[in-house]
Amino acid sequence: MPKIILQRVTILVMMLFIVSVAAFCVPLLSDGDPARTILLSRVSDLDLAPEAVEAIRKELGLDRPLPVQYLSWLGAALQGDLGYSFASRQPVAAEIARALGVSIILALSALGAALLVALPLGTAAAMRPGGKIDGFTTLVIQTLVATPEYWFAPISILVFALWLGILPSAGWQGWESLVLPAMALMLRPMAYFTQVTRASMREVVAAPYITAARARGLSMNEAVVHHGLRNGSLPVVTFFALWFAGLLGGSVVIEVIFAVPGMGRLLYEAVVNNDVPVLQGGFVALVGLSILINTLADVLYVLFNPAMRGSHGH
Amino acid sequence: MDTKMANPRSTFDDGHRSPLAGAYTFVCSRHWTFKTGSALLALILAMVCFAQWVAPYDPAAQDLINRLQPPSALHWLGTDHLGRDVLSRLMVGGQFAIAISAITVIITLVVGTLIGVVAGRAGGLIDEVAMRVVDLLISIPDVVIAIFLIGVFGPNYVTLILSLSLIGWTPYARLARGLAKEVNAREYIRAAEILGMKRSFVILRHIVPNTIRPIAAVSFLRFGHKLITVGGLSYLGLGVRPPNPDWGLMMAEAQPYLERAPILMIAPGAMIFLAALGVTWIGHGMEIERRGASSRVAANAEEAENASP
Amino acid sequence: MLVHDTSRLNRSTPLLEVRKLRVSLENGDKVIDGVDLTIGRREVVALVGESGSGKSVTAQALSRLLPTALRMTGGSIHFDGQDIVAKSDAELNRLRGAEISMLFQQPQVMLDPTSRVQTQVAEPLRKHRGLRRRQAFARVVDLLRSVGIPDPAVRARAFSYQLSGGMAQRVMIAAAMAAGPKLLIADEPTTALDVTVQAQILRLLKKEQERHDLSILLITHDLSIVSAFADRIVVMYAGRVLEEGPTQEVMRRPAHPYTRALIRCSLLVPESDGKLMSIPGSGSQALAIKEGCRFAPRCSLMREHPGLSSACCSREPEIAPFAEHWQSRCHASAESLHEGDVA
Repeated sequence: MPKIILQRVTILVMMLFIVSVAAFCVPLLSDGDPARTILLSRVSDLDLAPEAVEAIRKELGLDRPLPVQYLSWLGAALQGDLGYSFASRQPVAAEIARALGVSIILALSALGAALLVALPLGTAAAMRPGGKIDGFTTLVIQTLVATPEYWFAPISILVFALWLGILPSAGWQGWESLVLPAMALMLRPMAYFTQVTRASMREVVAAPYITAARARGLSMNEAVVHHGLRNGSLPVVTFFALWFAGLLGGSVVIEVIFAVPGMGRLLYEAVVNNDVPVLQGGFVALVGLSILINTLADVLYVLFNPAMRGSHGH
Repeated sequence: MDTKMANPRSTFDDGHRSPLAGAYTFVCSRHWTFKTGSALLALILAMVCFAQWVAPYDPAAQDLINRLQPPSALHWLGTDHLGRDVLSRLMVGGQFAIAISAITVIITLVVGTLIGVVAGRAGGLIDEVAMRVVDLLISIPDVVIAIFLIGVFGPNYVTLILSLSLIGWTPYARLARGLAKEVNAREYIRAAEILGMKRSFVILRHIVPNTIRPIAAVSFLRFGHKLITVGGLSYLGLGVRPPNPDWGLMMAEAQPYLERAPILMIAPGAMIFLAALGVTWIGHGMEIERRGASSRVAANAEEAENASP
Repeated sequence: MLVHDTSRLNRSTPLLEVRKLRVSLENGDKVIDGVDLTIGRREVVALVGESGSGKSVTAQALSRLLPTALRMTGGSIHFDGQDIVAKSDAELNRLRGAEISMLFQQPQVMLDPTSRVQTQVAEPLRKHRGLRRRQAFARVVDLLRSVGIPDPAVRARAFSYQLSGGMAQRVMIAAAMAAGPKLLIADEPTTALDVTVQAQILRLLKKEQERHDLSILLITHDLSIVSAFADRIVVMYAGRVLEEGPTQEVMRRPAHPYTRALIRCSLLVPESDGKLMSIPGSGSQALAIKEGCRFAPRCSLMREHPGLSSACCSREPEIAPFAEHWQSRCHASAESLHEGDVA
């Protein structure tokens, strides 16, 4: 068991290294001179004095060799120092922390709601393969997979905010403002969760231990609830992690539409303002997090699945 | 178990069919989702391709006097905030998004399949590490990469395609690796090799026809996903640039007039939805055809697994 | 009609009576074609046959737990005066685990990998005996001890992956016996186990049978375990019963050529040509045979006595009395063509 975890962690570290190098190097590839960019953002005067640019370059350590620059950047980043935003002059790390909190709430609400629908629907479909619920589920899945969330979002604003007036159309105050963005974001994960639940539950429904439980006198429903759900939801857990990591940054359009101050919107504004430190920090945070979360889910899956545990040691 | 039936599949299975015959079976495929999906996609593609000739108005022609008109006999879907004909713009509006998505799909297909096949045939540590990396990459939303690269390099189509391809290859790698492993293990490949056929011949004659179908199915599903992503980026002004008409862009322009003229928002979104639905149905139908209705579940599971946020 | 020795079993009505049982695939292909089966009280019956003969399907049909691909299409099943075929799902749930219990081939996969042994063994107690969780768990430890599991209190909290195959089967036996059933259907309970463990499990089953006045239907393809264990033997082939009778007599002097071949195969003694005995051909196509005896294509008796072939290939023999409490489905067995013992 420690071997498999060690292997996962090795690959995790390797990937994080590659991501950090990418985050550090990509801005260097663009034609902009960071020293000039920074100075521009400070003085907003196109005729920059060469001495001033040179001073900034020294100050930032840009005259040092690249690997040294990278290491000092990485060292600072590891201590939570991701530099300062060009636009707001705030520490990038603080901005990311604030935005991440918002995105986590949004992602968890959307995915939680998606699970609440997907688990019963997928299980019901799995119980009667080829039945009415199964067919209906297939249709729902295909429709939701093809629905752009930024199409659903304005329509929901139109209906719930403008016509019915029961929910706010944008902003981030109170649980009401959470409803519409979470609804838009839950559509696609819900479709995939349902699909995965159905597939894994169909396997589980036909599993030998369900037959054995029925031979002890449990009804099909009891057997599935007591012995099926836990086994069938293991793949869904992995999937939850995948989508949780994805939604932290993948909800850009929705956060922009609903003016939700999360990671997506932070990144979008960084693009609009050409705010490289925020882009860099946001990229490292989001990609790093999603790699981290997935490794964690993987390790937890190994740890909490007794059958898997059995096959690696003991 | 006693009830298990003998597997009737012979050693020489579907490898004997030529790719052409395989393509023919696609078209004649009986599953309704495939047919409906193809019809839907064909309609949209025809509309987009022939828009220049079919469109009732010049999609760029402004008519500020008749702006934000409701649907009428003259303008079937009304006019936008600059008085441009919505229907004409819808017809032209898919060109860029569809082209970008298609190019991305082709690039990722080639790269991913290559990586997958190499990993699958190499086996051992290379295979294991490659697949772990794929597992991790697949969770990164391509929007984040696109935003980072576009933010640094500025919005242009090369950056857009590059950023969508950067991790878009992962589902293909996973699929191709699985197929390569499966094909490696198939009896008839071994039989052919023992009979002394050349490896390249074996690959061309047996492996390629066997892998084309599942990879094509995933490609259609991915195409729909890319179309939605590109639309989203255009919505943010980071994808297709004005003044080119584009569905995502039209939605962004319609936002201020949501209450006054909701059709401006609904119509282009519906186009993206229908195009995505069409390819989803095609891909789904192909998967079902390939595996037979009995293992529809497995097809579904694979679709879901290959979907990234 | 089957008649069996009531004096030996000292009760009048049989515990289980199956008549003309038919099971088909969804496409209508028959898997079980008119099987009759009777099990007396405290009787141990062995149901034997090659894979594909339909013995496991028969077992599944008895407790109405057929896989979804199979349908029961005819026949009657009476258990302890109750008509099983007429029962509703809820009634069947009350029957299974309480009056009819089952054992399976691979005990480890029959246990839910994510729940503890005690949860699963306690289920019949909670469901059928109305015990509370706490009481049931206490009772589980006694049950585990009675089936010879060391450290029962510790094992009760184990997961299936922590158990060996033999231990897992003992757990399954404990769960099966928990609610005090009258009939235990054991579907190849020892096939997946080591030979030494096999004997232990069979001994345990015998002990449980004697202690609880249990009837057992043992499904197996292994004739070597039958003679020491079963009172009666029923031989199945291609969805039909070919022979049934008292174990000792049948093993000594099988009436049907198929039974004879099975016994000779199981002896693992070289034939005159120095090779081990095997039955030529396979039984998997036999279900498709429409005319004549289903075993005819593989039958050595028919080959040795060409005079039989017209009857065997055109008309399927009825199952007919061969001796007292002994029946066989063979044109030749009535004429007693086979002489002497097998060995």
